[in-house]
Amino acid sequence: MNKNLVGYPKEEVAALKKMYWRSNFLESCFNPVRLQGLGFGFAIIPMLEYYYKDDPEGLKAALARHTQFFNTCPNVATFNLGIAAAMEKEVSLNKDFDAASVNSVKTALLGPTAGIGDAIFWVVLRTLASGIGISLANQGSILGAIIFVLIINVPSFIARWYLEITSYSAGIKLVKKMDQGGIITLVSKAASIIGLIMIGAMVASNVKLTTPLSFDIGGVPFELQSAFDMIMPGFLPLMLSLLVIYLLRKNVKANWLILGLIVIAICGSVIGIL
Amino acid sequence: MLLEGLLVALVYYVCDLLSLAWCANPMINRPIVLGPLVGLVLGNLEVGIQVGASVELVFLGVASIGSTMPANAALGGTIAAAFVILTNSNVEVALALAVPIGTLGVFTNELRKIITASFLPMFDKYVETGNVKAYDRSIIWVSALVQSFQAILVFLCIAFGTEYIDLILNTIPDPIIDGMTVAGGLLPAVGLGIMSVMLLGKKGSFLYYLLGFALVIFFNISTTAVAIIAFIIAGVELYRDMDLQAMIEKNKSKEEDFFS
Repeated sequence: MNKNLVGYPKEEVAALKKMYWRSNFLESCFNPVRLQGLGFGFAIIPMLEYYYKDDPEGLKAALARHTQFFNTCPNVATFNLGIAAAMEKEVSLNKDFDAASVNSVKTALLGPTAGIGDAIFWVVLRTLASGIGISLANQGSILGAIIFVLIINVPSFIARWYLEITSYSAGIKLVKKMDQGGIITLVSKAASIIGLIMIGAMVASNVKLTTPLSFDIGGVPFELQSAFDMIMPGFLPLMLSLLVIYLLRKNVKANWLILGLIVIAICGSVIGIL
Repeated sequence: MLLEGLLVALVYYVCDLLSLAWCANPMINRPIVLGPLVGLVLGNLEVGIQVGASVELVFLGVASIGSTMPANAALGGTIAAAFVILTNSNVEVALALAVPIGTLGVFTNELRKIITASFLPMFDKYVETGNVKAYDRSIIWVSALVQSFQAILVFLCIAFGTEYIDLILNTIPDPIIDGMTVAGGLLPAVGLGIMSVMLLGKKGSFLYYLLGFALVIFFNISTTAVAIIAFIIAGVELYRDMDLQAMIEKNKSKEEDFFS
């Protein structure tokens, strides 16, 4: 038991433990549209059920908030889950609290946790584990594989539990303090700034669209892509993303957009423009 | 080879499902782990360990950071280890097999993700109706289902030989395969678009979106670096807003003093 959890009701502690176990499933149903979004919703469900015991409408809205785009390093994602749950608690208790700020803060934290988590688990620990593991395995020892798995997973399972309770208890205190100081709307505005900058950055690194189309103008080959690159690198992905935002604002269903993009991608490849 | 194929496919399925879906990326789908396990079920642990280590070394440089996965080490490592053990060939054969299969595995992974996306309307329906139980169940069975396709591929490879896989692949026209890869690049625009619509508030906030985009496109910096810059800008805004709020309140109380 951790001192951070002293003073919380039994049901809340049980829900936190459930969220920890469910956080294992973060990458289940990973898809190119929402990445870990569905898994994030799955993990946070015990907390939402606890907060919205007597409020089915609130539960639906909260679940819709937490099944959107999400992507971070799974080995540290409990940190994001803890903060999101702490904010969700405030949403359920305080009717004036802006629910959209939960998503702002969630998006703001995506980049840092992904960057730090990947650096620790993918770069440092995996290199260490592979180095030791491969040298043992080359001697024909089964210990190579066992030590490889242990070096990565022992820190991962311990870190995820402590990250969750630390971020949860700190998040609850922080939200309460800001609320009393009357700056919560200002903070949520600042969070949405970070969120938007991060989304822009993720568009640049995740959305990919180029064209192999080239013309022959008077014997001189002209590649269309190089013209786009001259306007601005990443011009096509940006235009696509803006078009998608425009269509979503015109209330076009996201599912139709997904279907449309798959059809466009295949047809575009067949006729050779994508 | 049917029984062997089944056993190897099962090992691959369990390790891949745990690593990519159910167990927070424990990395047990790396060749160094899969090699010995494949060796164990095929009765030659020693060779399994050896092949696993060699293939791991090849894929070591191929990190899977973020959503890009340049090679599927799990698929390559499993099939390579099984072939070396079953055909009594040397480890070099494993490497020659692991790399092209690892590249093919990138496509099958993309395909798995796109198939998963087709289940999104179902999940959204459960969210809209607040049917938490059905949502929970679907997460489990959909992830188990989509992860099984590649295991079936492993089974076919071992049971009928890699020529069989070539045959299947050749019946799929290349543009379709390319199209799936293109689609994998386009679809994040929808997920990010939904988030943008949620966060875009007042006029002008769109400029922040452009700032993040420009930082990555022009300076090619990491997301952590972008996050630090974003925190600084947001912090500057926050302090300015707090000052403004304090000033407004001060003026208000002055006015009240004036009128009272």
